[in-house]
Amino acid sequence: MKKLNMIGTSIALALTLAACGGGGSSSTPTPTPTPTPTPTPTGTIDDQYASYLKDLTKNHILPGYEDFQSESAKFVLATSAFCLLSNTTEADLNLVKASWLETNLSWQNIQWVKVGPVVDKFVTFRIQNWPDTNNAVERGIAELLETSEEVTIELIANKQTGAQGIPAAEMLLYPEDPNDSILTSSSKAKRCETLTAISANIAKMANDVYNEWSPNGGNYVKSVNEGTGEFTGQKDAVEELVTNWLEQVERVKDEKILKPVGDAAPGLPNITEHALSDKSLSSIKVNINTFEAIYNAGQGHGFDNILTDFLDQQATATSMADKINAAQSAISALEGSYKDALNDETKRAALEDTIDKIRDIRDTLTGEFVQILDLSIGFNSNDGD
Amino acid sequence: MLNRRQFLLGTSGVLALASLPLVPNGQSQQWLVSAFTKSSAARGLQHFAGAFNQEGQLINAVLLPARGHGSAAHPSKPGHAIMFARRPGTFLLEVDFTSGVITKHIRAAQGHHFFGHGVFSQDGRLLFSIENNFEQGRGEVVVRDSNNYQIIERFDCGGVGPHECRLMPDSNTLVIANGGIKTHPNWPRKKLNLDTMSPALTYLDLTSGQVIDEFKLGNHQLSIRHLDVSAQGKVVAGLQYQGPKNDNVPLAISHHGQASLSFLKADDVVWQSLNQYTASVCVDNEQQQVAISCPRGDLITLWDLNNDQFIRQIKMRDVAGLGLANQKIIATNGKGQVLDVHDSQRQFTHFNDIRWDNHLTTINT
Repeated sequence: MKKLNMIGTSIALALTLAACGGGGSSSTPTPTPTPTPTPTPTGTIDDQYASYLKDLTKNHILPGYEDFQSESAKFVLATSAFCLLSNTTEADLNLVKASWLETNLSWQNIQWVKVGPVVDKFVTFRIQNWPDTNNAVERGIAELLETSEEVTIELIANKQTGAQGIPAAEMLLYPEDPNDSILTSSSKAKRCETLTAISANIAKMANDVYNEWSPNGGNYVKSVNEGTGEFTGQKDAVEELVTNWLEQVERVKDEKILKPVGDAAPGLPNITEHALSDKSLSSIKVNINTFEAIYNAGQGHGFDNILTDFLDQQATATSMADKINAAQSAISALEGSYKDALNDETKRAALEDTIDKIRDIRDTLTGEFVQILDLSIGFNSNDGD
Repeated sequence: MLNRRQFLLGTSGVLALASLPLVPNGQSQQWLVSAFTKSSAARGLQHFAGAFNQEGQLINAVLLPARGHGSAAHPSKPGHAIMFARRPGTFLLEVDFTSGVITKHIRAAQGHHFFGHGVFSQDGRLLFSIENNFEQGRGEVVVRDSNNYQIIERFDCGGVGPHECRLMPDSNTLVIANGGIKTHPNWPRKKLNLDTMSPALTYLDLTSGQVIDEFKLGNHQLSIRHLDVSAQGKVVAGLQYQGPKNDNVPLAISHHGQASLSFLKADDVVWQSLNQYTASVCVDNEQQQVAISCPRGDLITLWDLNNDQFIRQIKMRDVAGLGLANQKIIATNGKGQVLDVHDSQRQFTHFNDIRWDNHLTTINT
């Protein structure tokens, strides 16, 4: 009865969240709306930044959060449906895993954004606690599985961050020890209860973040677009988003690729982003694709337009576009298992090549790009004293 | 020098007046002093030291030879403060902010540079500046006569890379954040000993010039950088981590006579959100709280001074400067914003085109 109550609550939550979203779902994290490029503005550089912000939020950030909301709501439904089955099969579990992956990829698409509601109350860490050098996820899951209390969304939301998000769900779906499989484990019921609550918590966080951004909710998008609230102006908002972009470039290069590659095969697969599911390559590909979306404002009035049409800096615009394309091409040479790639000399060379290409993006971004656009990326945060 | 009128043209003083009423009626005025950087198309980047008042208006600013860092209020000269050069700078300026004039300009001795911090003795007769004796590779507390800032004595501060210091309540002990990082002006911002660095919290007797106590942390890459001291003598220090980027480590310590240093208490996620870096520490004796700014995490964190527990965080991008003026903790950032930390409405005062530097100092007028 308890199981049915919990699942019923989660399904109701998922359906509510799905209804709130109002958007369709897509199997890829790339935003679905067809971008409508804003006509090239004339006037000042501030007008250019205003157009950039409007298109970036409209074409990439809002649809990205909406997609995350939608996918995470479907993940709740998938876990709930699975846990209602009396006899579960590998195929049933694969459906849940596929939904987890889609949720994760939709998150990876907007993982780079570090302004707004995702920053409040440490939400970004609650959604994904990684890198997890203190084994917070393992500790959090162990605590939930051991508790005699019913594991509810409220209980999860008050636990330490490791127990709350995408990595926690991954640990239950892809346990290191086969005896802990949610299909066959002696604690299957508790694992199901926990997974369902974790998925519902992810969906609630996704829903809350989207609603805070949405013009129909907290309307944080207005603050970004107009450069108000915490921002001192539209240029400041652009600077903050470019800083977020740079941080993600460094994170993808260093944390997601360089460190796992290590000095030699087999690399360090245990420190990869998704060590248990071995889906790290998929996330990296989405991350690199977002560099393009940030640059061209989701095919709207992007930095490419500003550099070319307003600042007459075609060479820099082309250089940045080429470097992003090169990074996308480098990573596209790899498919499937990241663990296998780290242990294969040819694939390691492709990963090294990807690192070099991302480094090129970083160098352009921190060099001519910010100089020409007169953007400041951190002052005290870069001080070092 | 820019005069007040010129500067106000570049600030949003009207908003400031409405949003930063720092002084209850009848109290003496306090100003806040900070280094800042201003950019203009005509002059490029220029560095200043400025004082702003309770209405959030810039009183006066003086042009600096290079980027400044911390400052020290002159105890016996109202409206005056010392501005220290940012590492590895060699200037030390006494500034009269009431008139906007540099009243003394001192250069570090040969083979030395400033580390950006220092304090006056309680009676105001001495200045203790933290300096790098880079020829000998050691940190020094340099005792100067506050009339002319000539050097009276040099004390070995017991470590490499000292940074901020404070006077303890006994007025005869200096507590020093020995950051442990070796630097040399030939490589101005390079850290030369990250593998072997050995930071410490050091207590120095100002009569004898001897180190009387020293405390180290287990993790030798946790650099002790900035600190403040409560009225009861409890020291709280902010740390900067020099180890691997993905390590999640605690970034603040306290010490109040115990045999060892204690980390402040917070969930892992709090430490994680600070991105391995803190800037300023500010004790509020009235509220029994400590504020620590975290520019890489875009957060001000508040802590209970009595039990060291994390209380809450306030979002403020690129925040670094913290100062206590008329019982209110004020924060500044690299975006030119000023915030009363306890303002529940989070109304920012904004100075156009100004980037407030790392630290704030309160001066009496």
